Amino acid sequence: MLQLKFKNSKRTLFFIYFVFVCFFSQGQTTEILASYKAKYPGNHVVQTKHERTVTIKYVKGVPTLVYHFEYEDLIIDKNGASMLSEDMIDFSSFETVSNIQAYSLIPSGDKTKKVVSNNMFTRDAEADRGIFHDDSKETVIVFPGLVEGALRHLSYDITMKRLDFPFGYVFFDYTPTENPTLKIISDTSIHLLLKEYNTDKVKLKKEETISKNIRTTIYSCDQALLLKPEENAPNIRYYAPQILAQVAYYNYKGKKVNVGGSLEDLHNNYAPNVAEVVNEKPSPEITRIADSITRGLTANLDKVRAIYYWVQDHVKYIAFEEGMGGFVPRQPNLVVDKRYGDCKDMASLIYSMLKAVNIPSYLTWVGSRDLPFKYSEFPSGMCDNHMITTYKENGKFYFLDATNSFQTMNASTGFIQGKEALLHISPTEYELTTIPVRDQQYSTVYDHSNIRIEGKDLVGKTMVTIDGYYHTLIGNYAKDVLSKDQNKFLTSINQRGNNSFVVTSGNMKNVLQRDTVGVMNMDWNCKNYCTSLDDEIYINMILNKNITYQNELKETRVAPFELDHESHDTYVVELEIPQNYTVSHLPAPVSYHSDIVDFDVKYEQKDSKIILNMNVALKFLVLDPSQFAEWNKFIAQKKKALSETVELKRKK
Amino acid sequence: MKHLITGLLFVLAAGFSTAQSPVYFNYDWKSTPEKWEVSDKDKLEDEIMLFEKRSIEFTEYNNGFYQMVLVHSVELINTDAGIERNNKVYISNKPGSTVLKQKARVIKPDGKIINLKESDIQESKDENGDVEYRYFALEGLEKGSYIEYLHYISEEPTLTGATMYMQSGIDKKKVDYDIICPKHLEFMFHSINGMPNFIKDSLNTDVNRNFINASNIEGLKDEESSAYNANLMKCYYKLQKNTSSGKSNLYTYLNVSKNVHSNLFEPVSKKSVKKIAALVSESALGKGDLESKLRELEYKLKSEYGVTEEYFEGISNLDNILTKKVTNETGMIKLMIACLKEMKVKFEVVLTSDRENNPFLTDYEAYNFLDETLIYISDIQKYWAPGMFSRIGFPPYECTNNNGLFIEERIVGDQAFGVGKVKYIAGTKSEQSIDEINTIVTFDAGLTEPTIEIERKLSGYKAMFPQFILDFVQDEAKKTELKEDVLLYLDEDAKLSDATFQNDNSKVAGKETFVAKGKIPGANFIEKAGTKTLLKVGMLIGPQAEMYNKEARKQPVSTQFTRQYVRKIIVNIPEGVTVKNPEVLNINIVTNDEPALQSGFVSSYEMKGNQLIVTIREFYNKVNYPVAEYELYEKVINGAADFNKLTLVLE
Repeated sequence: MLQLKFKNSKRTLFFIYFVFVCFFSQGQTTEILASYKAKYPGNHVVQTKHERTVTIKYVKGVPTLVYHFEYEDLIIDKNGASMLSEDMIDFSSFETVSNIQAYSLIPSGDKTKKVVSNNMFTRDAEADRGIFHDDSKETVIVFPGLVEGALRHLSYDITMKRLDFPFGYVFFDYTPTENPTLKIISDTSIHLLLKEYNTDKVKLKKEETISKNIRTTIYSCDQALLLKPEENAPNIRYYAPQILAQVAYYNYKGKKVNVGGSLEDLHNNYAPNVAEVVNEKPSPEITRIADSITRGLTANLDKVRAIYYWVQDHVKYIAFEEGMGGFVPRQPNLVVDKRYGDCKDMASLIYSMLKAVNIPSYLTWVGSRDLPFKYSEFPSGMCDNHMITTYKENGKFYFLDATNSFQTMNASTGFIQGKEALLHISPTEYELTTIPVRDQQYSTVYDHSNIRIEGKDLVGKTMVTIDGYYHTLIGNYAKDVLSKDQNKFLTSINQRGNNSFVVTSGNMKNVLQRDTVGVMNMDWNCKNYCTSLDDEIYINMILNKNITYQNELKETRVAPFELDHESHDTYVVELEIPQNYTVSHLPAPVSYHSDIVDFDVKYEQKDSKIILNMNVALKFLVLDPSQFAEWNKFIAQKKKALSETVELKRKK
Repeated sequence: MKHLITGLLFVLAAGFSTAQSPVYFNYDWKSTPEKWEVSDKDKLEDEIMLFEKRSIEFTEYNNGFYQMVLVHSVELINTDAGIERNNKVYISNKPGSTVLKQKARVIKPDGKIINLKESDIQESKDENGDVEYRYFALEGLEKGSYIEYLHYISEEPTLTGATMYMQSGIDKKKVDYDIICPKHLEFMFHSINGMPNFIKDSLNTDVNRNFINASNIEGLKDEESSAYNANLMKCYYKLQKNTSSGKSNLYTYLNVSKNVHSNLFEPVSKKSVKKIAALVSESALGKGDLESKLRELEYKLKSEYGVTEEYFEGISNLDNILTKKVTNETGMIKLMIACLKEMKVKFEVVLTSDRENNPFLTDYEAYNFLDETLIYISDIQKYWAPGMFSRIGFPPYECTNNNGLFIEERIVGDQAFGVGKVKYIAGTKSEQSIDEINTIVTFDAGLTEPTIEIERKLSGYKAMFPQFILDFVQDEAKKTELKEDVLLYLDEDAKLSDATFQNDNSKVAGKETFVAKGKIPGANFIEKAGTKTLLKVGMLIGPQAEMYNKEARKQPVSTQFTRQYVRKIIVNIPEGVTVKNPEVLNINIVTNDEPALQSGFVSSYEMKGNQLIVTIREFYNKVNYPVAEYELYEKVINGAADFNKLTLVLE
């Protein structure tokens, strides 16, 4: 489903283009440039102006939104010139762009010449990742002749066709930005729903003036928060300073008109999008399929499962987002024939198939975990980008999301855990609920190996049992593995020992069966894993070196650390002690327990075997920087455990 | 470089105007889909091409001369992966082409047919409103479905040299290919990599038809370190003869040499002469030798002039370039040539191809192989390329170890012209691109956390990243982080201290060695076994890939450039501690004794006082290895991987 976005100009790293007209203008002194260089060492560009003015005024009795964007960039070294030589304004069919002004003030001797960018063109924009077709366009503007010291100006207006769409402004950037400003100018009879997020991080200032029934509110700060992208982090909007706003209601000629001031308003705006799907009678084809796959099933839950899985298996994800097509699900009668669709098409088909077997369900709006915003805090289109179908039985919710073709019904898809879901009950009723987060006991791996030493090599036999989101993930990969490639597949996802690990024969059981525990069995070998001297062998029995993919989290890191899901992994390794050898050293146990992690490593000798037991439970989805120290303590213990080796000695 | 060498197309192809319509003008699929034989083996693949018909017909059509392109295919889809790969179809649209017919249908396993609706075909348009590509999603696709696709498109003809690929990643059961032209024209064909030759259809007297009917073409799977596209079965073709004009042996390198000369060796206008002279003056380039002057010049050109891939009027005109400082690669070459002529330096222009896709053939002349341009400076025996990410002596590696057309200017009387000759473009020597890591391991009293001093030196192509690319990174902190990664190559989690960097910019690229130094704690290199300490000495050479190939190798090994990895590890052994197994450090996989391979991994150690000194040399003195040498090559690669797993026992 379409995700509403703020407009942001895209910076691209293209090289310089051409054509210009010369004027002259006020001088840009070298002292100014020198002071910026000193203030922002190592940067190529400084945004000296970054302003957005949102004007809401009545046009034919209806408030209309116009956004005015105004950017100025100072190029403070040579590389900055090629970075800024091209800019892009992207826009959807809900928006029109006008009044584009683009020029540069370029130093030339001791003067400055104004070079107008009259070379701009509009083309179809490449659809966002994962979208097959949309109607977005982009206007490309080329700024010729940029050099160090040049000041680049770009301003334009965007008129928004929808009054109920939110707008906003972010007070962070990846390049130094001075005095970022959001200005809202509106008639005093127009009222906004507005929420600030994390604005304390930039000491946001607010000024408000009213003159002749026009309210002007200005939000600004000295410097935008300078952030950088970090890995394994939640979306930057979770912790970035920003403002969201939308028209709540307005009073026009004595009449109050609600737009988007409450969840009820939002639902009222959304309801027409699904009306057609809700009212459509399932086609004979839908009824035929729904009947045939639920035949013989008596419990409703079983029927829901059969229909959910059928849609997962037979409808492929292809997204079209053209105009309202980004918000209105396709008719289920079409989806069933096409065998493809996006999230809302899949949701509408599940809904209709359930209807065909007389089981009520609810089309549901939800946001992926990328979106920090909540319906309960700021009810708006910023809160969702996804649609699913919800089935309710005995007070329990089942969140059916066929965009993951291997998700079992006992949990939501991983990327909407913990999010608020807005259920469409009827054109006038809705229900808000929170999708539960599945704890570490839901997603488990039990990895049991029997190994023996052959020279310096290891030979092993392993059974890996996978459940929960682990099973969903591996099932999704495994379904595309041809039988001839099975060993290669098992090798690639079960890496251990060192990079010579290879599965020589293996099989999978129930890996492609939902609602079961998947099992991978394999015989394998791994070269040069042991260190052997004349009468001693050293072997590190923790074969899985990547117990957690993240090691220490740096103190300098600003972004929280995020996992896909909580998990509990158990590893058991049984080493056959080679004949004529005794155990001369067993590593000591390691144990670490906290609110976020449980970690235990234990070795024991039993008859002719050494048995390693290792447990790792990760009990969080997001770690705040304040918890990094605790994480790093665990990592220290993990590394300690990983560095301990078993020593075997030949009997004399 | 297309605009350098085209020009004479229509003149050469024109002949009698014959009014007959193109051969496949009315070609269509049968309304009842044909039944195709499918074996059990076919069902084990994600997808199988059951039938593929392709025709390119050069013909007079609609008051012009066009190539009419027919594609008709039937594919069986067996798996979800097959569905996902085929349910979204993108067809690129060349400028000047007209789609006369485009249709697709899905034939479901139960025989039901779903036709693609014309209205479902989307078009992506560029800034001029021209269609860049057409795309559509296929409806009703499920496992066991057949996809039948057909298009018929008129395009601007390519006569100077084009390629028809027969092989791809999937198996094809039956292919029918045609190349058709009017009777007065003759095409020349050159098939490689086992593609059959086109056969002349002697029965067809209306047109000159050449065809291939073949069956069971096995798909070529991609392999590590292979030039996949270069290895596919394909056929080059070009117009060879026009009997109506009596011209033959068209599109030879003789013509190219003439055209290239007149296009690139542009006389410099009065206005620009001064600017060129200033660019190459001693005050601009210094007093060094030729190479150092050229280096200065290159840095100036590549940092002060922008190179774009867009085309616009006058982009490669010298006067324009010198004022606007923006051009394309052709313009950059012209600028380089103008400078060299002003400096009176002897040089040749080299036209060549990307050997990873399309190695330059010496037994077939066509314009297929002339897409890349270099300049060869014979006095210093170095190649110079116009691209931003190359430096003199280090042209794009895919152009080297390849043949090329070398064009030299000759002046007879007051007449200047170009003379061309095909010659080999030698690559750089392995000692020019070295990745060197020197480490010193010093233990603490408890033998638990040694300190590791690291010095990493990168030269030539190996220094591309820290010397070229990093210049373009905006954020200084990010830049430092990326430079530090060069040292953290040994242990990405380590806390680096005392990091210093030398020669970390494009100004010295290709000349000076990038040097990074720093210190990391070595706990991650240590394991403990009771009282003994294990030093994972192998990890000090950095991570090494293990090549593991159970299936028989099908393609030759193709690597980027010759190179060396030099490592020196010094372990300061504390007093009273002994290394129990230093002999594992002697590895000698393949040496110069294997002259064909010219590659090897050799490691050895010596004890000097309380120092254990390990030296390692891994070298690859050639870039290509035939299939017969694959096993040995793998052995060398795995020699490094084996060393990587070595552990020393200290007590």
